[in-house]
Amino acid sequence: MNVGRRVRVPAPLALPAVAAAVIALIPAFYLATQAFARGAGNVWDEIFQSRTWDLIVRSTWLTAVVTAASIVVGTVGAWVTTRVALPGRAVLLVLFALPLAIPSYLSAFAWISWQPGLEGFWGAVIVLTCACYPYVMLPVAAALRGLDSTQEDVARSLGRTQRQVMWGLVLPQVRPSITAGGLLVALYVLSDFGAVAAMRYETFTWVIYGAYRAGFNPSRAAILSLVLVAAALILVTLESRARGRAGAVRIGSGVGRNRRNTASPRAVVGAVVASLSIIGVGLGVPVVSVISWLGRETQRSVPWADVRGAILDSFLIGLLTAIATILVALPVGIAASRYRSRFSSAVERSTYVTHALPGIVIAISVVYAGIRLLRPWYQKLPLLVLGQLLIFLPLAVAAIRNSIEQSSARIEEAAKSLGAGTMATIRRVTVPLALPGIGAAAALTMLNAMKELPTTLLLRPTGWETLATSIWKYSTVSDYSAVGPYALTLMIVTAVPTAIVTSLTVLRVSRPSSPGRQE
Amino acid sequence: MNDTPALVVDSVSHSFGALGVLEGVSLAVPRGSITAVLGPSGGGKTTLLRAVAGFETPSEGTVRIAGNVVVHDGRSLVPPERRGVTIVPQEGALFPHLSVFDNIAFGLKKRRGSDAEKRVRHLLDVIELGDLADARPSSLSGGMQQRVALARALAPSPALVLLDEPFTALDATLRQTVRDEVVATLRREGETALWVTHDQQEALSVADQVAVLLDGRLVQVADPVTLYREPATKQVARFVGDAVVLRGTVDHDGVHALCDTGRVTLSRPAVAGPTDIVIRPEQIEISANSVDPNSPSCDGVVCSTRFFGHDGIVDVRLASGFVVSVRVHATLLPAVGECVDVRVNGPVLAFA
Repeated sequence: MNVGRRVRVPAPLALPAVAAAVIALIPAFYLATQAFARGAGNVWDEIFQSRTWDLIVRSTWLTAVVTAASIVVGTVGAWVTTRVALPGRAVLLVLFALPLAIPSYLSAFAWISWQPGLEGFWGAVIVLTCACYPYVMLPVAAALRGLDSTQEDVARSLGRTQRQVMWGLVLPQVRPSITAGGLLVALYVLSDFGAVAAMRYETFTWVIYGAYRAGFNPSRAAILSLVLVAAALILVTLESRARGRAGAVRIGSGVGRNRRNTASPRAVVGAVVASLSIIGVGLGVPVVSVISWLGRETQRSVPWADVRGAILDSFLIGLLTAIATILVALPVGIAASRYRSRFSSAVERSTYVTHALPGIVIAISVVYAGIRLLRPWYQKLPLLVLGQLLIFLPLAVAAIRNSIEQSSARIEEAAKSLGAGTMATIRRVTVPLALPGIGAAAALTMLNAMKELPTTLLLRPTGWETLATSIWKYSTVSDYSAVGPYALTLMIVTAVPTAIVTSLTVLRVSRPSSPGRQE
Repeated sequence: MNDTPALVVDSVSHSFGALGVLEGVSLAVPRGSITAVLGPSGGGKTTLLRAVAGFETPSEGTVRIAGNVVVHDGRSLVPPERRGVTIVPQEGALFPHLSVFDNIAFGLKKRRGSDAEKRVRHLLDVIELGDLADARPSSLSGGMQQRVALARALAPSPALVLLDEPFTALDATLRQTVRDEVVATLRREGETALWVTHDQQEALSVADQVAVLLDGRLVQVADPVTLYREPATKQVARFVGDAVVLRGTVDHDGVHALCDTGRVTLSRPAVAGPTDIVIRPEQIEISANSVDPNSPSCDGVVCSTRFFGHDGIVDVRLASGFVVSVRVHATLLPAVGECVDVRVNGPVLAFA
């Protein structure tokens, strides 16, 4: 009923929301000023160089191959976990999702330490595919589960074979989910720094890092970033469109959830082989490598004080980042969900801009901002937290917005009619109701901040070492026995929450959504 | 001062884009009374209610609450939280993170202390949920939730309570009971209520005054009996109850008319000439007649019957060929094919 209603965002909400938008636009502002610092002509010169062109080809090739591989692996994984009657399918789904928790740089080093010859393109493909296929698998599994099985029965009764049903009926219906997942993968590959750096495969992110390290050529770094951002922006746009269409698939499929599972011997054998390969490559290699590093450790004493210090530093940075990110995201999320207007959607969109910026670009822009504007913060904790915040802000805003939209706006109207003012309603009703979602967003931010590499590498205060930077420091010099304890800790810290979140999601999806309680 | 109506809506119009939803609506709700706004869904009822509560600002007109102007010519002068108007929404909208007690106490100025405690306890007793003060809303049945929503709305002693189709989410048997309880509570506490509904039975049974809202216009505002007996238009007549509409002709005396059931008396004088005659099904009485169904002295022939338990509907084909539906006691259901005498009791309505 609220068509064409004009709403004004109340000032106590609007001011912090605008502040959040301004903060979120820092990297874009930096990019623009740096890239054009030596004039537009210089921009064209840098872009139309043969080495820039090489870079574009290499990045595109890697992105295309990883995306294709992730779509195949992810779709097979989704099919195995939803359509084949294997025992313990829920556990399987969690195992399949776990590679999400392993940072790409860590599994890259794990592969190299085992097979040094893999360095380069194919190593990067393997590592990135393992890190990325869950982005395809999870939405496709959800779509498969949501399909109306009576449709398939009807098709079979009309004379179609199982195979024809699969290709002609099922796949077309989950295609939007596959597309959306594939675009996410492409976005991830473009902005990944850890895996390509560990595998020494020159793509944009690594070259940008190099340009920054070697004598700090800010203009070239910024121009290359701009090209990368342009590519990412295209992907973000395509992704949000595909997501819109994927949503429509689920709306229309609210009936007939009782599903027979394929249990033909051939299917079961195929599923078992597929599962073992996926788990073996995605999870087995990194885990076994890390454990073998620990085994080498016995000859040398573990520097426990250093490990403890790294855990504490990671934890503190994660915690501060989570708190700061939620505080900045909250007013934006509330304004975007409850006070929809041109103003609030402009503010919300500005906070999404960094979503298209790779971590390394954000990190460099924050270094710049630190030198120019926030000199007292340079190489201090607040600047690192700011950098991390910029990376995770889009996710936090989206999560908060979603969790607020879960509860009916009528409840807030009831609060207002009972005399609670705008801010009182937010404090007494909106935020408490959205608290589980806000808490989940905070936990996820903390988790991601603890394993984040490029920003931490560039912005950490002098003398600070996190789990991520310790792994990086020792791995780049192939001192794997020293990496062991850090790697294992990071794996445990990130894998346990991922397993819990995935299994909760699986449980929620497999159960029919419970309607409001009625007499 | 005490004669100031709790709510005055004066020539209020509102539109969403090009779509007009309210057109020149004027209505006064006297203190301590229940006014029902009756209309089909999409008729603008909810918009009117939201405009009074302050969640929508109508583009024209004035709204006064307890004498104070809150909306004037497209501008909201008082925000929802300071209007002293509380709502009982369709789905209850209880705060799921608060206990029943805290839900009811939500709107009190002081939520702690003995006064608040006393007020909430009193309301808990009124809604007969004294034992469930610490329960969570999710553990309550739909009917209980709606009673808590009412208590929550009454707690701050508002100038006016708005009820937005409060029982549509409940099933039919429960609806009657909860409705009776809610009306009893409103009456006992002397509250003023604006009650929005699409259910004509609900409107007629709960309200002192019923306002019929059709296509954004208030077509008639009257007490329930007047509304039912003397609807202003044929449309209202059909909306507030079942109606049999026959073609007929008004006599030259203006108080009688001739139609398929014979000569009838009009409840109000009409202009002589062709007209529509509206008869309530319960006004038509049929009695078994043993004459041959084909003889000209037979008034009508039963063509079908529907049995509902306590009563039934009999479709009778009149001599003219027109079929009328008649409500009769279940024990009196005639057989299909039987001939019946048809009589109309009491005055009927004519709409030219």
